[in-house]
Amino acid sequence: MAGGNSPGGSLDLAADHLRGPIQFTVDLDHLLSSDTRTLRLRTSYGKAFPVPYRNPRRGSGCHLSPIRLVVRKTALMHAHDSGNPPLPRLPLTVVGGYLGAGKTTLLNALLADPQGQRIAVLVNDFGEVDIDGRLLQASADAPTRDVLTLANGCICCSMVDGFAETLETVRGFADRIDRVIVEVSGVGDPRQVARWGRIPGFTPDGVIVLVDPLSIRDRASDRYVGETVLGQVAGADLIVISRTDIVAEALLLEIEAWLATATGATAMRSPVPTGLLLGPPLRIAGAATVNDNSHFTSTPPDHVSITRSLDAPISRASIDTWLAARPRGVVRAKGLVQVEDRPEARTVLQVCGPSGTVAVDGPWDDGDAVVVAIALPGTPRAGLVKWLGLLH
Amino acid sequence: MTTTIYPAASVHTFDPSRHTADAVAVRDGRFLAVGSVDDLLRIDGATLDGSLERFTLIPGFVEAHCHAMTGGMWLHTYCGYFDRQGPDGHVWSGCQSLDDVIERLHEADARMATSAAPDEPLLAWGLDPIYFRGERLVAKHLDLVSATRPILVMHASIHLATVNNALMEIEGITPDTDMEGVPKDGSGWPIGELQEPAAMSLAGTAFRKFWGRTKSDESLRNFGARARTTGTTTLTDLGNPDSASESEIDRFRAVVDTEDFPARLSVFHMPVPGTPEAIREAAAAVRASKELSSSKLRLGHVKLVMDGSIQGYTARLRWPGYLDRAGNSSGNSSGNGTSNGIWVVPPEQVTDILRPYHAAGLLIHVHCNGDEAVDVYLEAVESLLAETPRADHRHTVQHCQLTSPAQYRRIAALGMCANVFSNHTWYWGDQHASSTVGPDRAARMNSARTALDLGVPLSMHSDAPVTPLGGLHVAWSAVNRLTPSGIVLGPDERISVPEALHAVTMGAAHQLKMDDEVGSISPRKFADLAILEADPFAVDPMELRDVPVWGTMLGGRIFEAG
Ligand SMILES: [Zn+2]
Ligand SMILES: [Zn+2]
Repeated sequence: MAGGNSPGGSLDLAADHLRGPIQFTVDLDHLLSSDTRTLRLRTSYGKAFPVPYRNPRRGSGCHLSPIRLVVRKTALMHAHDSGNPPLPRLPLTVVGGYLGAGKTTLLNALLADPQGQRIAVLVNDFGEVDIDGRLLQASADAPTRDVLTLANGCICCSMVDGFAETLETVRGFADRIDRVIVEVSGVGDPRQVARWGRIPGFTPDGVIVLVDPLSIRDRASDRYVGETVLGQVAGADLIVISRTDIVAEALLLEIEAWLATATGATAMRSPVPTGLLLGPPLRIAGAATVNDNSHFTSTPPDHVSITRSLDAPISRASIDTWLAARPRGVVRAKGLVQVEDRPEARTVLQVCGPSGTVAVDGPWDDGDAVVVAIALPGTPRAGLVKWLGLLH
Repeated sequence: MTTTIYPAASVHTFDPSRHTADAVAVRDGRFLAVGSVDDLLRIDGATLDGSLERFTLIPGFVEAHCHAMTGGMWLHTYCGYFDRQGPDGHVWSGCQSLDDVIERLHEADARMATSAAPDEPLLAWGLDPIYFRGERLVAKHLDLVSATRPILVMHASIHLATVNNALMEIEGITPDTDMEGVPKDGSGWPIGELQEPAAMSLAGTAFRKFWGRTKSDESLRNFGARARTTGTTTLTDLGNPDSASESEIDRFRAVVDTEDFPARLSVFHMPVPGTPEAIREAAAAVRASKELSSSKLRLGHVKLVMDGSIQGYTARLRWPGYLDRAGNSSGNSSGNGTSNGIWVVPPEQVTDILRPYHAAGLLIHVHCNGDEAVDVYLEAVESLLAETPRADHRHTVQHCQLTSPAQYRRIAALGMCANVFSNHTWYWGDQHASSTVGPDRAARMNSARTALDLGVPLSMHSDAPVTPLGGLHVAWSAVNRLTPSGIVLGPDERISVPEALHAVTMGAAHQLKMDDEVGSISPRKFADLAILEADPFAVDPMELRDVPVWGTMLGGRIFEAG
């Protein structure tokens, strides 16, 4: 890394990558003797951007030490302002669907059988039914399950900072919880709310939309809410069809056919077990031991799940290919992998229905690299094996 | 008990029993009488105060729809397109180009060099790039202002913010930031725009401070100062989810219930999501909070938001919906998939949400910009009245921008009121004609004439900080219906100066259920005045908004504007 002078009182620094904390050695005497006001970091992206620093002559708290300039580099894990190791990002799952679609029932089922996950639920609805308080009491001895009621209005419309504040509060519990589920109001757009999964400290983990088979098609053509309901369905990763116990098979088939035209989401019939809805709990299980399916206790035996260990870092191109080649029927896939161009980082792969995300989630911890996929019953196992094989 | 007689150049009372007078007599913070100076001097022990004798006195303006955050905006740097007066009376010139914006920020940055830490964010507000012909404010422009101080410019829509590279560096907004609402350039670098709250929250400290400061005492005091400079004596905070909590009430009290705060303030409660039981409890708390009202701080009314905004294409419109890009109506009811706005609450829940408040006898105002939202609200009120009949409820349609004559008839028949967003004609009228709904419907927007003719109790508002606080401009806009491009948009919907000024005084007082206390210069009412340097009834109606405000009187105490 080289330092060079440029006119106009700025000093240009060139960096060939943007990974990790970057330290530059610069000529301090030069800095102190010139009236350099701006340091510019030039990056491999071809961009120069200003680097805040304070001239030690002008005050305290400087980023300039006698021998080197430490640039606060935040691209990697937002760990710029403290020496603490970063907590893993909290998966943020969004649950949406129109009034009466079964959101609360689903949330209560998840809380009743959390599969060892400590779940925080953010409730954001003018609801008929509440999250079942008894479940919370019953779990007093179990790992904490927090239910937080948003006090600042609707997430989708609130222009102010209410939801950001709420998520920050949740983030403060990060050592006590494993996942956040946000329940969106009956007219809210879950896809829009899912954007919050990208803020620091969180990682998006699926948009689940509930569909009531008896009313969905009326709703979808309703004068007032038709557009809203269609938008919810279209924005889903996973659709859960509720009330399947009281609905005739013929109607369910019809609804499934209709959904196939209305959304790219993977549709499932309720009840959907926690392990399937939320996916394999890689972090809880520990990456080192995932070679059999025994810990997916609630994945029904007819669902197909498959695990592959990776013994070498994989290429970014193969991840892109892999995401694009998702076979029909895949509900969830997750991976903790090492990527060739970023071997120092733990890269998390997540597939939820048609959506895939790749995120860096802290330093590589020398555990095993592993990928797990779960698919609907009847999904050919060979296809899944081949699919996971695309990662190399 | 001292009685002070204030002779004036003219007095317009808005009291139907006596329209004009020469002077007002004030005792104990209230009007004792109005009349001729000679008549009033007969009052025992009355003293004459000539300090207002060159002014025109009208009732202080009552703003039935604005937000307390108005004051907080002035803690940030103004970057809007139109000239705008700040709390201290200083008029900030409009920023009519990106260069203007950059220069304004340069000045602010220079001021901060001596008054603030180097990493203290420079926060700005009000940017409205729709006037910049496609030019877009991005980080590289803001980098010209400072390469080291984080900068955040909130756009007028508050759906969008622009930040500089220093801020992105500090907050870690990088090519790795993978989020909808963070657009990037060809090389993958974020351009500095943050769209919608989730992306905006990435601006971290700056984002938190931008909104956090609007909840400060200083913000509230600025709000009061804005009232003083605009002749407003009754303000509203239309929609505060915490308004029934003790700490929030204490916070308001500590500022509003002091002698120096120059306005009354009615804080409306905004229902938050919850179970029916929770809403019942909230309604009881709001009802109880009413008893904590003072002569200046009012509590206990309710505000719900139904849809979005027309200029943001998020209001719910009936057929034929919004224009598409080619200028054709989208015909949303035909289900062609063109977006027709958003619901903030599910239409079928509106009745349930409002029921406990209506049953508790509380006053309800509901934000309905689009005509479809109006339909849903009217349906809800109709069923609530069938369940729990109430006389004189005064439930109000707020904004009421695209409301048909039939809807107005129904509003009148249900005993409801309309608070019309007349400032829209000036601030977005040209955009409505060209882009959102087309010239014909734009001419029918904010139809104050129709409302009055159909017997609807009418008020008009600024929705500050959405548009600037000030009854004179609101009235001017309804009287003239002029747009910045010089078009009179919907001349048939214009109303007279007396009608318009009535709407922003008595009309608003009526909708706040304060019409027995404020809104006219009448014996026994609070001595609240707008003190004007010219007679608004005498000036050319086109000059109504330019009538200088000298100050206000609140409860008999005089507050000079400057
Ligand atoms: Zn509104
Ligand atoms: Zn408003």
